[in-house]
Amino acid sequence: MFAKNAVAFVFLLFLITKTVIVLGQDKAVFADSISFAGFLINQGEISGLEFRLTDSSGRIFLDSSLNVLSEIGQTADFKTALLLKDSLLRSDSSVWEIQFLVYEQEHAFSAVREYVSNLLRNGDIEVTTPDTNVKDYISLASKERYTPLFPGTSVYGGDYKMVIVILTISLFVLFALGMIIFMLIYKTRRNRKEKLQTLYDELIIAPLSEILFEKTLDELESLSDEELYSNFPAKQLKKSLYTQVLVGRILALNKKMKGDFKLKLKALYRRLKLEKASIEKLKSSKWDTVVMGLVEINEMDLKEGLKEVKKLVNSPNFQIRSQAVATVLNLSDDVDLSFLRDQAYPLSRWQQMNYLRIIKHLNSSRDLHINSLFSSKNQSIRMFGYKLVRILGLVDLLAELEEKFQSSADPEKIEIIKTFEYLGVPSEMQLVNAGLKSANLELVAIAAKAAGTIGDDSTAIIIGEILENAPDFGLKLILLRSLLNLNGDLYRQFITDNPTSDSQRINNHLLDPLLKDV
Amino acid sequence: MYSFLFYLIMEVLGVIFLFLSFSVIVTYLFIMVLSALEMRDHRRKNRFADYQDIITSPIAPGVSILAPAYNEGESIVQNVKSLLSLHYGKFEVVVINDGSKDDTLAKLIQAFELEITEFAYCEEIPAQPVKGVYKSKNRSFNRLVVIDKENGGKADALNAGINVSSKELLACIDVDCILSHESITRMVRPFMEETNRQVIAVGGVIGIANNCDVQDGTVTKYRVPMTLLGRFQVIEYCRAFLMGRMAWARVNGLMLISGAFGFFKRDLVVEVGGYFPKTVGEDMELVVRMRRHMEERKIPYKVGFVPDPLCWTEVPEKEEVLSRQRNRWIRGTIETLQLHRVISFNPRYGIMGMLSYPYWSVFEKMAPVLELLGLLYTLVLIILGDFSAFYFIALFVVLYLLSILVSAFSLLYEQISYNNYKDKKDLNKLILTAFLEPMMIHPKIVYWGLGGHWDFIKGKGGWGQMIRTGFKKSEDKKNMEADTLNSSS
Repeated sequence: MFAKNAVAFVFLLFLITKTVIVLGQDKAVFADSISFAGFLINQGEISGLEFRLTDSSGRIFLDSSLNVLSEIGQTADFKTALLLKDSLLRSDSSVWEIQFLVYEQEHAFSAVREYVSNLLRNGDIEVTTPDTNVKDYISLASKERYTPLFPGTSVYGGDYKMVIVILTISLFVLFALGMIIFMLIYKTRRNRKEKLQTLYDELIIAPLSEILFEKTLDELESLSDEELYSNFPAKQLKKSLYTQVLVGRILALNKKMKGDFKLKLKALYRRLKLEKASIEKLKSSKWDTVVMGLVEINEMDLKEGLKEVKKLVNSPNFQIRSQAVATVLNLSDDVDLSFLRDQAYPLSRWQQMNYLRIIKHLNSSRDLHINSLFSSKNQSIRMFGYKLVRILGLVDLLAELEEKFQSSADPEKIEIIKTFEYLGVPSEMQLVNAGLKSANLELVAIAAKAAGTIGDDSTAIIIGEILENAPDFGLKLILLRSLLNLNGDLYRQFITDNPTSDSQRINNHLLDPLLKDV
Repeated sequence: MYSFLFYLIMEVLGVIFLFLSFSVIVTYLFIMVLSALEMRDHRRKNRFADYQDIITSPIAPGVSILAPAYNEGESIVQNVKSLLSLHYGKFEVVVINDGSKDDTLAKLIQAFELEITEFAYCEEIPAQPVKGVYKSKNRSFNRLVVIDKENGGKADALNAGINVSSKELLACIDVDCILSHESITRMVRPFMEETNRQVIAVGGVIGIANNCDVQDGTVTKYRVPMTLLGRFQVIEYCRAFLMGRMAWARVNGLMLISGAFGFFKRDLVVEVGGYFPKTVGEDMELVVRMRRHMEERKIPYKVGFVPDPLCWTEVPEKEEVLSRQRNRWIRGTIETLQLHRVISFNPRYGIMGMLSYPYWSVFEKMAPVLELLGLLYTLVLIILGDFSAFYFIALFVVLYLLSILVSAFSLLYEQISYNNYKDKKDLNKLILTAFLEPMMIHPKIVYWGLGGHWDFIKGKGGWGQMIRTGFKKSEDKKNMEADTLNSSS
């Protein structure tokens, strides 16, 4: 309906425009013969137009002595012809008429009027102003093509302010229009999508609940295609939004439910052949589609997709890489952490947190070879390995950590010492003592803190030596806390021997029960 | 001669104003595009993020929430309870009573069973003397630390809080802000995600809580404020946070993290000397100094931004209060830019030097002055009879439309991303405000901004001559601070 109206409207506009043009062509330039005569008087010479005087017998007036007419008796100025006619009327009784010649050919007054009108319409002559006999410059300028005074400039570029204003407005209008069009399209599509999503969700909920709560797993697996597709029509399953809503629903339920319900959801996923779409998503060029595919494979235990997933564990995209590693860890029955060891990209804390959750879950059921991470060329992965030993309480790997300690960089040493402290292994005191003697203050502070938990008398002596060198306030507090834990006598001795304000304040702090954890 | 000079100046000014108008439009259009891209990426990433893990993960960083309080007796207990109920594993709440003259401390002591401790206070960053550090004998409030100190202003209070804090990250907030339960988990994420560069700070969005329903520390029902001034600030905050900061975050050019809600790496804050207490723009100054520190050492870094609605505050709806706030903001901006003017157009400082600083100088600091000059210029042209109505009307219309376009765009962002203002009437009111703002509110904002400039020139804020020379290096602030303290003692 709208399209029809639009076409009719455009056609009407076209007709109106055409009519104006056609009518405009017939419009008379001179209202009457008087205005034409007045024009001829004011205009002076007009190209191709001449006048001569003839009497009733057809005799042409010739008078070269008057110097107003040529030898053939013609003049190009209508005013001259008129003046001559008047003077002849006064001096001579005979009647003289003005003849109009267009390119030497005699024409009637009306024909000449039309000729001059055409000249004016076509812009071949310019109207001369009656008072000053000066050309109409505005009219002239509008007819004349612009030529710049200085070479290299143009009609538009000549006024730079105008250029900036035009450019500004054009840019603004372009962007504004673009944005408005985008907004309208976006809003319309979104509204439509939301409506459809709600509709599909309503269509999906009922059959999904029926399958989950009224059918057993065996019944679901033996369900005929006909019955299955009566609940989830094949026609609808071809629509991407419907599938998206269905997958979303199944994933959400899978997260919330346990046991048999999970199995039923996974079975249904396969029966509806949704797993193919999930695996297909891994080939997408959009990272978020790939990650969505990985999430689906992970949640629905689609082990057939593992081969494709493994290709993505070293993806340059952070999100893809993270999800791919998590999926491989979750789904693979035999995989250990050696694939993680070979990762080239640094491991962020976010990734570590996600992997830790999975590894924690898997560690009790299979051997993940966590120690393989210690030999990674990637420092962040080695450090993740040390953290895993600490968090998972893998005491059997401490000997390997001890071996690694000497050859490790300071950040790794810090992680190793933290691990020994956390697991409370006093036999590894030499590591802590070595840390205390480091030039790296951060390492010294960590070692000092660990010393309080796993140190011995030798550590207390080293702490005493460091305290003698007046460390900064923060380190002093840590050292004294550790000393207090290790050897109360040495601690009190130090406080007595060093009655400085700092020592006294630290002593009061350490003895305050409210500050036990501070 | 003088006549020639006068006309030359007028001509040059004309060119400058045209260029400025053009650059305003182009800049805003770029900001729109960049923020749209950033918002799109953020929303995509958020689809796959599971924030539940962070709460209990041993790998997540600890957070010290620093909340300075001055004469907050009426609401302090409720606010601290709300902070203590945040969903996160490793965090502490450090409330700093900045020499309140009311019963703020007494109420805290009573409500949380506090006792003064023998805390060995170490002044890593200079601050006004600390009178006492309090802890609760009730284990339920184990996360709470209260510092009682001499009054020294917000920046000074935060510095004292930093000295007492013990966690890896600092969350600097206004104590009267409402924080979402998820606020820490979401703000911590950028710190945990980055692999190739350090995230030194992360800013968050501040929502407007006026006229909204608040339940259990979260805004449950959004309504636009009752007054035009309040509604204008809703649009302004959308523009600033959802557009401006998102766009700057996209190019890693953020120079400002709101003092009401910002997360920082503690070790770096201490390394650069903490907040600078002698400026009213301490939040911006700290971010600029931290960035300078990283740029000067050529350490890859990032300042992040999280656009999720996680923090709400009440904005002033009275002109008197708002004018004071705007005066303070413009002074803070001027002071910070003056202090760090060495970075202006200095390629050594990367995006910050070549883009962010010039942007802030022209479009934020100088905006009120330029607008006044533009007005005067127009008046002179009218008097001289050299006034071109075409240019004036064309530019005026374009800038007015641009203002509406930008406001509408930011509202659209809000609607697409969060859709907080669900009531259509609220949205209509906001759209109407966007139309009225350029005529009814903007002139006032310009006037208050000019007041800020004037107050800065007069020296309001207690700045000494030496500070105006600017820091030579980012860490010079520490030395300067020490000199100031020595000379005063």
